[in-house]
Amino acid sequence: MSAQHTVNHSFDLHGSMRVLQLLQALCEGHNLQVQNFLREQKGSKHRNVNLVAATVDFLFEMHQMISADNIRLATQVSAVVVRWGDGWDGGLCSGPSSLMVMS
Amino acid sequence: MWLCCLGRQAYWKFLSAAMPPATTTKLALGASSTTSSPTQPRLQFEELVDVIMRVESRVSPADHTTSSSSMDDAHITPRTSTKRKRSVGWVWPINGRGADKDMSVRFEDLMARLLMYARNVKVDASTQQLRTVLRLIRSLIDTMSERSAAFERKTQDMLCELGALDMVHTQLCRKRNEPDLYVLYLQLCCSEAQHSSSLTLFATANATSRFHGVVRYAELIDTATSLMRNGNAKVQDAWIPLLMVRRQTLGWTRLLPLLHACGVISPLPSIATAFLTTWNYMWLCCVLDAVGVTMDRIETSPWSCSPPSCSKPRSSCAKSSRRMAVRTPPLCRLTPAPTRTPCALQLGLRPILRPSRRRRRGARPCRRSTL
Repeated sequence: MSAQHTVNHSFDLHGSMRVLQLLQALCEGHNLQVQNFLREQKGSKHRNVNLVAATVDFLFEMHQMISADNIRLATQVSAVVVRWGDGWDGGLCSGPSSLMVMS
Repeated sequence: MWLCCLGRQAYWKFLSAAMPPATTTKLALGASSTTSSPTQPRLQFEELVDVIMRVESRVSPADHTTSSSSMDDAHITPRTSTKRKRSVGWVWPINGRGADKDMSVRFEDLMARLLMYARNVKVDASTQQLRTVLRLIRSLIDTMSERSAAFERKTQDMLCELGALDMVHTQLCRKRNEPDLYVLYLQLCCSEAQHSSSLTLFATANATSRFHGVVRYAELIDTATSLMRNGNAKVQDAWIPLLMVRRQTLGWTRLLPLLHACGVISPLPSIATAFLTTWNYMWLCCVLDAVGVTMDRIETSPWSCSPPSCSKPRSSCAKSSRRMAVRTPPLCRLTPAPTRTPCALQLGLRPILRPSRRRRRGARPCRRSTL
């Protein structure tokens, strides 16, 4: 890995951490409305962004290369995924929980 | 406490930049300001600055005298020491101002003023000032969270009601026209990761530039996180309508009045507007660039929303903008209302001094005035 890639790597990790922390704060406290919004933006004029699926995919991509450098990021991604699965009253058949299971 | 580290003089200097001009006769800082003389807003503002600094020192957990006090303590009435004010070079009292003991200046008033200032800060021009306000927000929340979760939540709610969330959202969206910027960022970063076997994927040119945007607004994201952490559902819910609303795309129907105001074009008859095509629209964009009209100026034009002096909330401005787009006939849109001209002047646009062609011919008056 080149030196520049190493620098960019750590640079981006900080950005990822911030975005994931924001997502975690958004879905903390079992707020069903926000959790649904992050999965599907109904009523929005622009394209839908399924952040639940994206985060789960991100975790799957990450788990193979977890190291001391990115363990904090991996923990943060896991925390966000756990928060999304937390307190989902619809059970595993609907919502983010089902998305995570199907992933 | 970071405010103390910053230094009193430096903090005052910064806050002076947020002050209204001395000619302002009314400052929305509370009930007392409605009866102010023209010279009083400055004094009141400085007084409020002093209040916020003392409030922050009072809510410190180390202060045993207020450790059991309630949140209402934040609504203190400034009973300031004359000696203390003089020690920082502030002439006080002036014109019997010191006799005004019952003036009730609230902590929220100053915070609302600061947040309104921060919302209008241009990111490139005053990043440091914006950061100062953001740090103040986080500092307040952190200080309260050290006391108890209930204090933290009330502080979050209060700041949200005062416009902190709107300010953060506005600054996150500034110059990008993407309200869901921070949502899309994660999605893009993840989608990049899907096509690679390494996290170094983030180092690709495209993703790096996107992430640069995130890091550039790192403090905004930190503040957003701070505003809703520990499961504050009220603030979380307040995000949704903000994320759902995208600013209106810049269409040629909005460009024409602006070009007219800039003096680039004369008032066009409605039939001419009907022949405007996409190509023409792109040409108009080039013209806009040539005359130095940026997106920011368009967004703050008298025909869109949120001019610097506009006190209306962004949501109501957006509604009125949509209503105008639906109801106003094209020709009427070409003729700015006289009452809006001062806004154009504030933006540095050349005012329209001649009446429209239709008015000169004695046609019926424009319906715009009824909106």
